[in-house]
Amino acid sequence: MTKSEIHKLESFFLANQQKAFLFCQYRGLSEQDSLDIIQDTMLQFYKHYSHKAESDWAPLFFTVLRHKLIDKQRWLSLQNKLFFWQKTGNDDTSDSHNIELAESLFAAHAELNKSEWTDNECKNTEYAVAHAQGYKKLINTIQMLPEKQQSVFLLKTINEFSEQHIAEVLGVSVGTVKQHYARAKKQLQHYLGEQDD
Amino acid sequence: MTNDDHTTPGASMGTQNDNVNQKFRPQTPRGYAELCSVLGQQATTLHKDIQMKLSANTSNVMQQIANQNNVTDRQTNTSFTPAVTLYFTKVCTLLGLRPMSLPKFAFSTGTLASVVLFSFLFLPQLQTNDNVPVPALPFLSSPTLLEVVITTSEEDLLVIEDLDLYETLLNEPL
Repeated sequence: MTKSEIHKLESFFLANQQKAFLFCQYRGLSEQDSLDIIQDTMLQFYKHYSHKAESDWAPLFFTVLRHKLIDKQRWLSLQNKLFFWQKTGNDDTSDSHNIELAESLFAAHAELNKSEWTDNECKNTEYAVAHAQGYKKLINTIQMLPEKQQSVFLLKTINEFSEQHIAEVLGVSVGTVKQHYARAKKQLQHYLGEQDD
Repeated sequence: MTNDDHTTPGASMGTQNDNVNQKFRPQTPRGYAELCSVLGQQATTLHKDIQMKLSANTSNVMQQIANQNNVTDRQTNTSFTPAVTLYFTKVCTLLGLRPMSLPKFAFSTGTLASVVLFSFLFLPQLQTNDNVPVPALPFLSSPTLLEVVITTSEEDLLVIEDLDLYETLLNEPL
């Protein structure tokens, strides 16, 4: 691999690392596990797919990432069964990481509405914490979605992937992607509707 | 748009919520379209600490790739965690042990220490024979006499078993 190719690869990784991190976080992984999985994914991607066309990199990268996430979640599930006295995944740690995720979601919401929200609403820490608690429920709803629906939803919203690219990542047809997306959307709309009631 | 515009419509319908509750009402995207926009924006609003960790993570990967390709002009990045710690963490993870917070660790260690101290210091005290009546052994209660008995010959020991002589020994000054 030449120096310029390595530079291109680095730019690709830097452009996708935050999205990959969010993808892992919404799947309920801890910060350290997310970082480890992203690192493994990058190395595996370099080893097997870096010679492919640059336009195919993003779907391939997220395909590897998704497979690694599924493996990790299977391992965590097995670990929970073997070491049943040590609960992993649904304890205080995951709760606190959801709060961090909620805070960044609030920051994104404030960023989008900064022209309309007051400074107090955007910067007041108490205000942010109170709102982050509200976002936590929304994050839990996304985390409760079935794996495929969740993947489709996250790839479409966070990565802004086309349905064709999502179909490549999941290894299914475009029709199936549409179906999963419609179901995820319905559930989230139902949740948001309940909030409005 | 005010804060109230983002909260539930019911709040503006004259419900009796006070201002404090109104102020801290959890505020989420009002509709699905807004939720999608917020999620699309979230990658840019990650905490700086996380962004630094991610950059370091990527740099480490790129360093490995550069080494494999004999590209040497990259700057070496210092890892956040030393290799030994990483190895130790991996072994612990395989064994099902997870890193715990300091309060949790302190609580567990404290509980364990209390149990050990209780077992080694307090429980033996309960098993002492202080309350069991001990038969009176007069020569044991008199160290001087005991010394005499011990230091005298074997014959004296035999003599002491004679109760009469024993009484005599007790009554007579040594």
